[in-house]
Amino acid sequence: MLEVRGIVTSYGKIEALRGVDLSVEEGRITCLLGPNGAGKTTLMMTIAGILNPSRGSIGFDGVELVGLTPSRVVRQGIALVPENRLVFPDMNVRENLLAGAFLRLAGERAEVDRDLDRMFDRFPRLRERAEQNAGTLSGGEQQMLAVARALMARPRLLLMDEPSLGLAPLMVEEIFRIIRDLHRDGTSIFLVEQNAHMALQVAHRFFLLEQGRVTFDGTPGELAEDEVIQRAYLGSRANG
Amino acid sequence: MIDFVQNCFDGVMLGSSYALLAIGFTLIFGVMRRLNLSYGPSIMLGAFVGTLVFLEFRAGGLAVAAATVVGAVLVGIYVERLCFWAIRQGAAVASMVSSFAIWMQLEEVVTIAFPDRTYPFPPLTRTEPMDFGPFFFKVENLIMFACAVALTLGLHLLLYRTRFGLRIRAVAENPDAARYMGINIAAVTFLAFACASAIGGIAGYLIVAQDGQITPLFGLWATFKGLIAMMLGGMGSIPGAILGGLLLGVVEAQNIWYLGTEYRDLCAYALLFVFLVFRPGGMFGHTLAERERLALRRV
Repeated sequence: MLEVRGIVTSYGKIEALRGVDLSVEEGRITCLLGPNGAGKTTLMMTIAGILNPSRGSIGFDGVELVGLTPSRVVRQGIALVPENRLVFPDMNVRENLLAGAFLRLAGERAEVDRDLDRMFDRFPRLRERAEQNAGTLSGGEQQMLAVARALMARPRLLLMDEPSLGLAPLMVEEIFRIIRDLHRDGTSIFLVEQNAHMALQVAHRFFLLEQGRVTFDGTPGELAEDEVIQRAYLGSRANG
Repeated sequence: MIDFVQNCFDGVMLGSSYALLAIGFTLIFGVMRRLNLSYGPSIMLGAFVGTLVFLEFRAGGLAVAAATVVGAVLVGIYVERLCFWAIRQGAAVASMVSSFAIWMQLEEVVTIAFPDRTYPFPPLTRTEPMDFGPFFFKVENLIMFACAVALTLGLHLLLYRTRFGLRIRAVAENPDAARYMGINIAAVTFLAFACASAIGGIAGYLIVAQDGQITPLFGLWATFKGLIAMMLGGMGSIPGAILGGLLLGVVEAQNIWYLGTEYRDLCAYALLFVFLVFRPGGMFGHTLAERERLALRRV
């Protein structure tokens, strides 16, 4: 579904991505692991059209994404749940969700309202807080809102940048339950995660990004057997 | 006591024009997180366009008002393209300095095109003041106040009831997130600027029509009043801009009455200083750190 080929993205003279190749399959959960500063968020922002790569191509169901504006990428069917959630704190929950469907508001208002209702069914906590400002929600609720807001664009591929970052363990479980639910309902997901233990339970395929390059590509089984990865990402618990 | 209350009425009406100027400032600051010092001078240039229409064609009030607003919007767009669009994101200080440079340029242009410095401007109305019991009101003050209320309500509806407003608010709250939703930041910035300039143009027309004359110094005056009112209320906050404008107006009106006109501006600066020391975020403003904390809860 998504084919990333030889992507090089730089900040000034520093190359953050130095030729990244990976692919995301339709209907699957694909997980990108890697240490801080490896370029995971840079890759997400490059796919979303926020950053322009200097080389390489990104094919999405046959459409070239490199060179498209962020709004064109959203129209192609890719939505991003950004790192640190980035909810609109002084807007209420309903308005946050409408902002997520912004590009659809002009033409398909009735559809958007139905989706809003569907989103409230999926996340009942958000319905209770529909008129509350997003800044008053708990961290977990804000993360739910960020996910729901991205879904309002009706993406075929959902990019999630560290959705468990900074959340309490119970909330992390909840977020991964949501990811499983979304997958069951047919959404393709490309997930950046530092929590390898949780990711192992949901993802079908793993890529490891280190210093701007993909250094591992495999199934959860292969990941769990790889000694280097075990030591770096899974610690001793995976050995037991 | 009657004097005090009368001053409060006068102050609120005077303050409503400051509030409009502050709303324009705060709209631009809210969307861009940058200061546009050329805001006042672009309104001043618009008012000179109004004067030109008045002197050349003997045009009536409505035509002069329209010319003033259109002039202010066109100059506002010129400032936006030069100081904000051409200077990339993140260079906030460069934008501010270049908006100062453009200010000087606009003043130059006006002094060359209008060498007499002071020009007549058609008054809003020649109706006599009205009495209500012990109080009296100037009709042009009432018109200004009514216009300010109507504009504020209109802006509120625009921001909270329309797709365009959703877009502006999203960019003001978090431009990165807005971009991820597919919102075009440059387009929003441009439209917000045009909107702020139109509000400034209307405010400028009402103020200049009260004075009955216009000088190139009006730009400095409008920038100062708008900036101070915005700072009192809190940068980027529209309710703050309204309250800041009204507060400034009332304080000035009391001062003019009890201390004399010569202390009017001195007191405005003193008030600003007190706020900057004790409440730098203004009455309604969140500091940036507070915003971050709200947007990223840990629990």
